[in-house]
Amino acid sequence: MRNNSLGLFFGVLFVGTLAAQSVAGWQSFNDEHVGEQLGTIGYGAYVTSTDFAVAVAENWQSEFLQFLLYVLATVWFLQQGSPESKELDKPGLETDEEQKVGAYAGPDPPRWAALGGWRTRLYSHSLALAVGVVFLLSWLAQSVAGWASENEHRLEQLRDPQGWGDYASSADFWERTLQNWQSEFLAVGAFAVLAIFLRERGSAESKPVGEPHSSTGVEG
Amino acid sequence: MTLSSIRPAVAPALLLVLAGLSGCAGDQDRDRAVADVAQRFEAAVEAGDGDQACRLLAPATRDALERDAQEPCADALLEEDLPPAGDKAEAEAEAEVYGTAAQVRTGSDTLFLGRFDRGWRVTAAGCQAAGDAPYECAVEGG
Repeated sequence: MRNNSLGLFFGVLFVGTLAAQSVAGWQSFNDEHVGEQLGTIGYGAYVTSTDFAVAVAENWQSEFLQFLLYVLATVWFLQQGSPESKELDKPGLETDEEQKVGAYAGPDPPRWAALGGWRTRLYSHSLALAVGVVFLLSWLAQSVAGWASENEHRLEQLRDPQGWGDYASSADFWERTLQNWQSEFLAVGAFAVLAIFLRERGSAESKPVGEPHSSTGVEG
Repeated sequence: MTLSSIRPAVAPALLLVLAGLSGCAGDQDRDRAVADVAQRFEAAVEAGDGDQACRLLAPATRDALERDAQEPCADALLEEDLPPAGDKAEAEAEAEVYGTAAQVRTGSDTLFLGRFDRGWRVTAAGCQAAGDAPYECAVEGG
């Protein structure tokens, strides 16, 4: 269990905070409806509502976009002194030898890393592909849930509902999207730079405390 | 930054969200229930049964009607210039429902409804479109 504690820790945090979000969101939804003299709904109806779905999906998509860009950007972009960056002489996809693929595979490689051909090429980008697919699905879910939720509000305001295409190009959709993106980009960029000068003893995300600021690509 | 916090369980969870969303449109029973309330409201108004029509109004709409007219809902409602009852089949076909709010076009009128503890209730009736602005309604809450 200790050897998997990082994944378990965040898994438990995820479930706990999602449950807490659902309760807070339910109370907020009903409070808003009471204020507008509209009907309130039960917890079960809220967690299957578009209001809850859009609140969840809009955050998921931005988190997975953050990881997608981070995985891809750190192939090519460097940050001198940052443990988040590769060493300064290694930008790019690197050689097969450095990546231990095909004929250069080590003693216990992932099967597709050693096979060569399309399977090794696909496996070489499997992390970005997986994260990218979850990002796109989450963003699609946000657009569909946000469309239905916005139409609910429009009907409450005695306005006609709008089509999905109109919603996907609407201010509401892009405001929800961009407010999440900007915060993710700020957090990642700030972390990459702060980690040049600051330390957290024992953390895999930090350089060793005594490591010089100029050391790049060194994790504790 | 490591990626170990991304759990494989995320993908099934996302599918659950998408599955939940599929219930937001095309629910025929729900559309029928909404259209039925709109139809019964219109039929009651046309039959001069103000009490029955008022029972199908949302609380805020009924309050606003009585406040503005300074008389009981049943009397105030029948004095409004509401269109005649529309077509039932058209109302079902033209019901648009999103969450706790709905719009029904009956052929003769456009009505808005909300979902309450006792079922769907009419929040606005006798409504005329006004572009992208809110409809102008003979009967509405607030």
